[in-house]
Amino acid sequence: MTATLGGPRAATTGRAGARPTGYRVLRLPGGASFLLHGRALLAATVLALVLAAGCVASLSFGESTVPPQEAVRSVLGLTDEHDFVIGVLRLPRLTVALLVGAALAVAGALIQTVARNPLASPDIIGVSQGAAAVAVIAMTYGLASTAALPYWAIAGGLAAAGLVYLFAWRGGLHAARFVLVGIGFAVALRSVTQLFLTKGDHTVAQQATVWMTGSFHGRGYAEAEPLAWALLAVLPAVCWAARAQRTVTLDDDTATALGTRLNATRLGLASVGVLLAALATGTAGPVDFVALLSPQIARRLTGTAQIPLATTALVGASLTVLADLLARTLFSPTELPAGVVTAAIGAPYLLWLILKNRTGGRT
Amino acid sequence: MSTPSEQEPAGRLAARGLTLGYEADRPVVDDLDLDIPDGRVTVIVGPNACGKSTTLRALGRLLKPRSGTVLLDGAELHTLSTRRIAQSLGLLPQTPVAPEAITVADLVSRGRQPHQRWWQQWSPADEAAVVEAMERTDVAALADRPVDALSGGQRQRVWIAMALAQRTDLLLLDEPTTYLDIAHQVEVLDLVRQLATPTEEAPARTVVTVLHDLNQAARYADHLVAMKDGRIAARGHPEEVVTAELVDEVFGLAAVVIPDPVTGSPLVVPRAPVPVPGGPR
Amino acid sequence: MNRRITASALALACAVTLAACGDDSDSAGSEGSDDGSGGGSRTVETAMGPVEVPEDPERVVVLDTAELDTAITLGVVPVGAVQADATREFLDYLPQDQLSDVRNVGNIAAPNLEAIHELDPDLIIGSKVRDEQSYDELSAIAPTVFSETVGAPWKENFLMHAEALGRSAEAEEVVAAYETRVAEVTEALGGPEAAAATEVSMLRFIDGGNTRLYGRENYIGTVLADLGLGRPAVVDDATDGFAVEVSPEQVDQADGDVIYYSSYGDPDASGEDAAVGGPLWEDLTAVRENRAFPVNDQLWFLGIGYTAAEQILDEIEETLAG
Repeated sequence: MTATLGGPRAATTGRAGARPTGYRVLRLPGGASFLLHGRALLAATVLALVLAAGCVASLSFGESTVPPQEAVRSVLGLTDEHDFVIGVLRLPRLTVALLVGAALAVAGALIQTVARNPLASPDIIGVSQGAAAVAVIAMTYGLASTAALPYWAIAGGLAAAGLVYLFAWRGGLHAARFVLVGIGFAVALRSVTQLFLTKGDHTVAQQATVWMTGSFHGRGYAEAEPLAWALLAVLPAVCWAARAQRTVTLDDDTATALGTRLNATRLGLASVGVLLAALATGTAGPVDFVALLSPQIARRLTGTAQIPLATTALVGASLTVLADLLARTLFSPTELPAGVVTAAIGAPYLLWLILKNRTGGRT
Repeated sequence: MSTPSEQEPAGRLAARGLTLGYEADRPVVDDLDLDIPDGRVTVIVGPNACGKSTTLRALGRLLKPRSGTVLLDGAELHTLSTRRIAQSLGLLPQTPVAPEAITVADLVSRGRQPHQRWWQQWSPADEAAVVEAMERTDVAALADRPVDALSGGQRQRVWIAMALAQRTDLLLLDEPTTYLDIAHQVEVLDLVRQLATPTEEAPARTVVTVLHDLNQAARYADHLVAMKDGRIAARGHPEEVVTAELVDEVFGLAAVVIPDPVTGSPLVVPRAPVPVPGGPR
Repeated sequence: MNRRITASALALACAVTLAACGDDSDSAGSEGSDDGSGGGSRTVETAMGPVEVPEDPERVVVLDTAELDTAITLGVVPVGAVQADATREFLDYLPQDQLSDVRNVGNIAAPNLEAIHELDPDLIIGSKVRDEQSYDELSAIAPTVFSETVGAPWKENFLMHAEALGRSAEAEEVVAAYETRVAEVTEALGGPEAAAATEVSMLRFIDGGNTRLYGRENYIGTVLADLGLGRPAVVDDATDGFAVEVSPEQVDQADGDVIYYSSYGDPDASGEDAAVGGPLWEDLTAVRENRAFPVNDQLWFLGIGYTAAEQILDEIEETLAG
């Protein structure tokens, strides 16, 4: 089609074209306004319901079954009949699974945004491996009590990410180099972990192996609390990130032309992502594929041009909650690590993603 | 190191003593002074690797000068925040990349980013600017189409719409006609011309663009800058600048310059050292 | 308590799910169900500090194979026990008729707290090294007695767990019987000097890990040491005395006068089948002299305890003194 730019203006679709497709505007008194994506809102609502159902199911099912309404009443403090099974065993563990899932998913979304690559994630660029390596080293040398282990893992994840930055930085954070350096570090750190596993005490090795599959077993409020605080603390950063995504998803020059401080923004996005991933990994061990898949699932649900962060968090939380429910009940009384279940769901999806990218790739 | 000349800039955007390069000892552009006239179309031309795109990138703060400075409203560009620059100066790179599955209206609306805050994501002014930008580039009818699905010409108009939605007085376009067929090239350049024409709603914009085609440059420019080896070989109105001597000096091409039969602007016709089909035998 | 409420509040605020959060304020601290026992209680010094246990525990849950051996050895049939990864049963060398009513409470690495709770136990025995993370929850279910670690200090662990079980007197008899039997077997081997001159290699192929040459600081190492048996020099290289890890192709390092070998998991997957059928194997001194013996992995390595030890002593006597 050839449009005649010099001629009379073509009839426009008016309102429909006036704002980004699919978004609604929420205007508040005082001039504040927010762009809300209609389908993302719908997806988030549905996911919240799925997640709520998953939570209730998690509280209901186990070695003994608590009727769903009883489970909810117990959580609300309306009955004390299930205080132990729900209050001590199931709710704390559910809380951890929920928070870890949300944190990993958002971490994945931010790192995929920075890397501009749907296959990037903290478990691929070395964050999880760094956390695991340091945790195993700390276990091997008896430096870490069980309570202190998450902090060692967090430190390890951050240190690994710091090294990846350092080596990937060349006058700026280049997306492809960031991923490649990250993959290199991931492989190297995995070897370090293996080395210490074989060198170390065999019971430590057994513990570490369990930890490294990612499990919510034995996790409770003691682990949930620091994670919850951290999530709350980075919430403003996540709001900022959602805004920054609108430009960093464009090419570098265009993003800069639109007033984005690209290096600082990327560093900020990646840092928040790495922090979340390290916290989550420190808490539950590397629960595979949640960070990788949640953003992609969320984006397919909403059809938005960038990864929708709130929807992603809900997908991640739903994944881990359901994975842990399956992990607990599938071969009961033997518990699987939740990471085994997420991997069983995740691996085929990843394969599909790769195959699809190969055939339908964009320039 | 050369010192920037002290001459007062003639317009809002100017360069003084600009030295640019990607490696320390091999400047691509050397000690360049450039004044961009306000409300006009400035076209930078020159042979490959003469530094024209590099200069444009520096004017748009995509490239940090090795020495010298770019002045925007009298302030040194590198002292201004990139957001502040984006409120006055729009820029469209040579090969912009859109995220997968983004729609036209979504992409155009991102031009509003420098005017927004996270608590002010969509003001009536944003809406008006996006509507105007899309109408002006005639992409309003495509608003909900994915950018991926558009033709090259449509896509380029969408990108220009995004830059227009930014509502800056200054607009830098880096080879906006690359990859377009001749009809779409003309379409885009007509639009550029229009932008520098004042309307009731808006004063004329200042456009700086890099073009490959000397004839198009001569036809659409108010102000032509010819560059060679990182220096300015000539500048001024196309009729003063585009001469057979200049074409020979800058491009090393033997040519005659005749008036364009449609516009009267200089038209470069290369000489034919070997017989060409259809030429005189 | 306060901390838990804050944590759940935060969690829910962050995650837009459940409308409100629980003030499950009176659950965790309560000492499970210590009713039904003899009424009195004793205090046991554990790795986690002093713990009050019922005078005569009746419903015991064991969190490792060693504790299972201990309980059965002392005539206490636990109500629940964990299972090891590679097995789908409780220890096969124990009298199976006694185990038929023992409920599986999950994997050693991740005991199922809900399943344990369902059993309403009055004592839980295990080790800090395995289950420290679940100690709070476990103690809320029943008094929980943890040894520091597992493996080599099995005799001390046995005494601690025996005390928790209220079977200290029986435990002393078991220990005395073991020592008598050890002396007998050493005699049967030709006395301490002959025993010391026999270098015994302990080779364990592991499904999912490197092959181990067991050193001195582990369960079987201590049993061999009690007998005064010699060990090949290679065990001195063992990390912390536990084991030297080799690949299945390096089984030649296992050479000694005698080799006992087994597989944790499937012998094919562990590399045992390949190694034992392989060319290196035939060259080993012990193999050439027909003194390489396959043994029951659960008995020799996994189980740990006096019941296992008695049977191991029998097998050693049978294979070496014959």
